[in-house]
Amino acid sequence: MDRTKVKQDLVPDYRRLLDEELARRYAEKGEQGALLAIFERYGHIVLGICYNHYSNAMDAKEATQKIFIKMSEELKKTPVDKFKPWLLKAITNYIAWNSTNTVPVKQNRIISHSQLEFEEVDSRYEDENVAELIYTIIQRLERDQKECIELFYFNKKDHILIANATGHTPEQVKGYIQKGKIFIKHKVQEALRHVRP
Amino acid sequence: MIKEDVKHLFDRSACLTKRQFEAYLSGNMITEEVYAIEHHINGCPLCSMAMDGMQLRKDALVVANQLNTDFLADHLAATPQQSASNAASYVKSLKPKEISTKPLITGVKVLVAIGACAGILWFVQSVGKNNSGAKTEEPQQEEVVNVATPPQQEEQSVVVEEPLMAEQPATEEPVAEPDPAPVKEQPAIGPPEDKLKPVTTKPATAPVTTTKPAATTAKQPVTAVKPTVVPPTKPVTKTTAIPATKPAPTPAKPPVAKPAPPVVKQEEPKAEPPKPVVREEPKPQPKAEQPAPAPAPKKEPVEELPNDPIAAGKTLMDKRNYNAAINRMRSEMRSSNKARRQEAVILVAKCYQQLGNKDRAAELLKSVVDEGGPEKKNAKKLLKEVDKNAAKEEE
Repeated sequence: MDRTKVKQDLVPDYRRLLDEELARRYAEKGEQGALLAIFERYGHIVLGICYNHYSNAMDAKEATQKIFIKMSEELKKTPVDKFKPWLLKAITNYIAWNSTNTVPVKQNRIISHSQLEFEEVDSRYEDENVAELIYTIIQRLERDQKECIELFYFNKKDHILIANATGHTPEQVKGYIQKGKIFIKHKVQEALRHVRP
Repeated sequence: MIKEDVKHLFDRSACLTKRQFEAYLSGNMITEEVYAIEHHINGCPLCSMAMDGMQLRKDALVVANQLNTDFLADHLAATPQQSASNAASYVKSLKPKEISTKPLITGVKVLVAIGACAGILWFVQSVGKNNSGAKTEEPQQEEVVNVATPPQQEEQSVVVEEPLMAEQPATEEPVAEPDPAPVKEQPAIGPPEDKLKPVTTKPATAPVTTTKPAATTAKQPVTAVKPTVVPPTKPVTKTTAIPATKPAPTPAKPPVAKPAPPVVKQEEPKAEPPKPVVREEPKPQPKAEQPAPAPAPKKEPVEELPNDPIAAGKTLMDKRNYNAAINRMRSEMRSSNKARRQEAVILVAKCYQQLGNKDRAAELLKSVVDEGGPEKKNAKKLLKEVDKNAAKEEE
């Protein structure tokens, strides 16, 4: 019994670990299982992103593999505080550096810095005063952004319904919501800095 | 209510799995699931961009499923690492540190032993020279005892005693008396010598029977301590004895075993050949039969469907295959062409109506009515029908 318990304690369940913990375990202890768990989580996502830049499926697949191989090397060199932004940066860097040698780009979508923002856990957003602040900022948004955000978050409509209601394409709807959210986030963070330094 | 929604504006969630991507792209999701996925996509650039890429290609998820971790495993195997796919192997990797001390200890032991041997050699040689000068009997006996005590170093003690052998023949008889003493002492030294004794005594006894007893006693200490030098006599006995025993069973067994297995082997092949022949014959038949009827019915409906998603959806609707029709027209619902998008939405709404999901149908139709356009009138009519049916059902 004791031996089995010890074994269970020693063999970690990588599915339950956070991305940063997996990266740390691979970097410090060389646990290959941690890297494989990262691949299980993000392999298909990296492939999907590569599809935006490579017209051929095999090229996209090859790029995905190379990104992960490079990632395995980079993880050991530099510690990673926030994994998702780091991964996105790694992908965009790889594609940017190899864009001249790869197949002609079909969907040339430039990733701006505004798109590199991820949601962060911040309990302050749950405060009622902050909620009111967010609501007032939404009212100041551009018309399309405001419309899409209100329809999505307040009326609980999905992108297609909003697109049909507003006349935009679903992709445009998604873009308006994302940009509106980033604007709200920046404004809230500015306000919080002034209120609670 | 709005405040609660605002609070969840920046909720963080895990990235989408393959299944979620697949279900979302194929349209096999209820509205709540679609909303949850889009909620995540609004705040996750990774999943958002991945979704865009996967929408560009139909075989995206097929390729994603083909992705293996083999290339990573190969890469990691090629690069020197700590290995350890888990913590247990990591713990194992720490063990070499403990093991690495052992060679050091053994090395030190060997060095100490060699040093001791060298000291003893020097001592014995110096004493032997002194004794040879004095030619006294008693000190030689003591020397033999001293030599017998360190026999843990086998080869070196042998080397020491060879010069003694050269000296001893001059005094064969006197040496014969003290010899029994060292022989008796040897067993008390330890078990390693016990192993040597049976090997050395055998060749020693042989000459004893033929030669004088004094010579045997004189040779005993020497032979007792040099097990490795004497081997010419041992191998003779062993080689004669072992081959007599070992080869005997080996040739003896094969003839016994050979006849038996061939009988079995001969029987088996006799039984086997007909089996594969029998198995091979029926196998191709069902294989040839099974694939032939299976693709035939599948190909027919696929060929009938037109390439245009809306037209295909209409044909599927005629066949009352509403779920397939929805999946077929799902991509068209995202079209930038307003007329086609609205047409697809209305057709999908009809499908939902037929499937009994009237809320979803009404929701889609309302969106078309709100948007306005060429399909607005149709949407209004259908919306009224949906409302009427709903009212009738409620009554």
